[in-house]
Amino acid sequence: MSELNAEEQQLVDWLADMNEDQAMDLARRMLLEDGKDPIRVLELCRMSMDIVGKKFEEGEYFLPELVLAGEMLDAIGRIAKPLIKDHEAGPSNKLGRVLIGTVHGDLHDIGKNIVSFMLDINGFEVKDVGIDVPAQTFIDEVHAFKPDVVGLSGFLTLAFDSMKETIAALEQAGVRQQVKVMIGGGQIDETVRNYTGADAFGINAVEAVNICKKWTQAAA
Amino acid sequence: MPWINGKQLHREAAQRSLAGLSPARVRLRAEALAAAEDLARPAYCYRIVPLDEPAGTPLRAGGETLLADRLLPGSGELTGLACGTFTLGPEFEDRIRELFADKRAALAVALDEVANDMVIALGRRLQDRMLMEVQRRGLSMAGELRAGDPGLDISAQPAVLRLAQAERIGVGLHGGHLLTPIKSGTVVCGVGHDLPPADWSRCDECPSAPRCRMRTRAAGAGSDLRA
Ligand code: B12
Ligand code: SF4
Repeated sequence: MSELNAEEQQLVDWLADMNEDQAMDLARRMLLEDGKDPIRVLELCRMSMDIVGKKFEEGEYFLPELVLAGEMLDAIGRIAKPLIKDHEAGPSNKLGRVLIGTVHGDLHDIGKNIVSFMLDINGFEVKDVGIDVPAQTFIDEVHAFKPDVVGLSGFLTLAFDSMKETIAALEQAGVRQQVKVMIGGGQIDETVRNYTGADAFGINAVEAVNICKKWTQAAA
Repeated sequence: MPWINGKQLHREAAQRSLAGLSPARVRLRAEALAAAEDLARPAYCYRIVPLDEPAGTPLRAGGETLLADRLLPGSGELTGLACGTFTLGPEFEDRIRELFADKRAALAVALDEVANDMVIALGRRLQDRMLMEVQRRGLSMAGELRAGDPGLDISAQPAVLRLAQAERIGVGLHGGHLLTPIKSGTVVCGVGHDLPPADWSRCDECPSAPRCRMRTRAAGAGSDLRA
């Protein structure tokens, strides 16, 4: 990305510092009054989101900041996107498709909802199939939605068995090779990933986004 | 069965220090506290159940069997178990889900945090009541276990609910082990004669400890009751 002028730097800083009102006012002015290139403004948003993501991973920010930054980005996106000319926008701009749900036997959904939200605002097309989702629903949705990535969420240790069963069911249905599978929630680690047969695990929404970006970029 | 005023729990959550939070976080917290005002339907219940046989491995009480060696005391005599359950009711999770559906994710997360503060405070109240009752009977109470946290396997959850008679407050099980409503918990403490204070906490070996914020928060609130 080219060098930032003072105003652009200001927007990035205000977004990354959670100065919500000032950041939103400046973004609105840039887009609606000054006629600034909306794609450039969205780039600035992504830069600030990267900073927020780093601060989150370093423990300076917590989930509420991460999500709030995502919400600001979403709000600016809603102003900017209609201003982008038709040929530059469209579904082809999506980074990839992610199917996500909480596995059967588990009702925890806040972690999954945050992951869905962050994937969405980071440019993925997300289908969230909810909580307590039977393996068959994942199979049906792989056929119907054709995702690049399947995300399985679960917080109880017992959910690890449901994840394993779901991944085995994808295998049996002959669709396992069509998708990458990531898991997350609760006490997930490399041992659990190995046990369930998933391709990757993520301990937070930033990791979930990074995993999906890595996979979809590699496939492109 | 004791119902508890949600306003008290709400006040406790509102007292949490906001030092060091960004203005946006402070605004969100205030918004979440306002949204939480009428959502809590708190309730708890407990029973003090005598052991069916002298304390050992496993513990048997009220016709149930629990593998809870940590409750075996170094001195004194374990004679029973205090088993309780508590819930904030289902309204919080419904509202949080709606907020996510409306793409108001930041408020949803803030409301979830308020709900967790309130349910932790509620669990603390329950334990205070259990302690009062135990002392009224001339006994002592020590050690605190939660099915699913280190020290008591999650498979014990159905037995704990039966011992606490959880149906009295509408706490049930989904898929065998998950409590419904979600914002609920259970607790099992040792009861007996001259029990020494426990020198362990269920957080000591918890695999979630490195990334658990509930742990420090509960400790800061001066209680050994955690997530
Ligand atoms: C807060 C909390 C509670 C609260 C609120 C619960 C709720 N769900 O709303 C209360 C106090 C009510 C509670 C109660 C209980 N809890 Co609790 N709780 C937690 C705690 C500390 C955080 C869970 C949470 O809500 N996180 C909020 C989310 C948003 O934060 P997060 O996990 O960081 O989210 C990220 C990741 O999960 C990831 N992610 C999520 N999904 C996905 C999917 C993919 C694909 C990817 C890549 C990433 C990803 O991204 C998210 C966003 O960054 C966890 C421990 C922990 N640190 O995980 C225990 C934990 C879930 N609880 C546990 C237990 C045991 C209980 C109880 C059974 C204890 C008891 N006997 O009372 C009860 C039962 C509740 C029930 N309904 O059944 C255990 C479960 C272990 C097990 N054996 O199965 C845990 C894991 C703690 C532990 N011992 O390690 N609990
Ligand atoms: S409060 Fe945190 S560290 Fe302690 S038992 Fe619960 S999840 Fe584990």
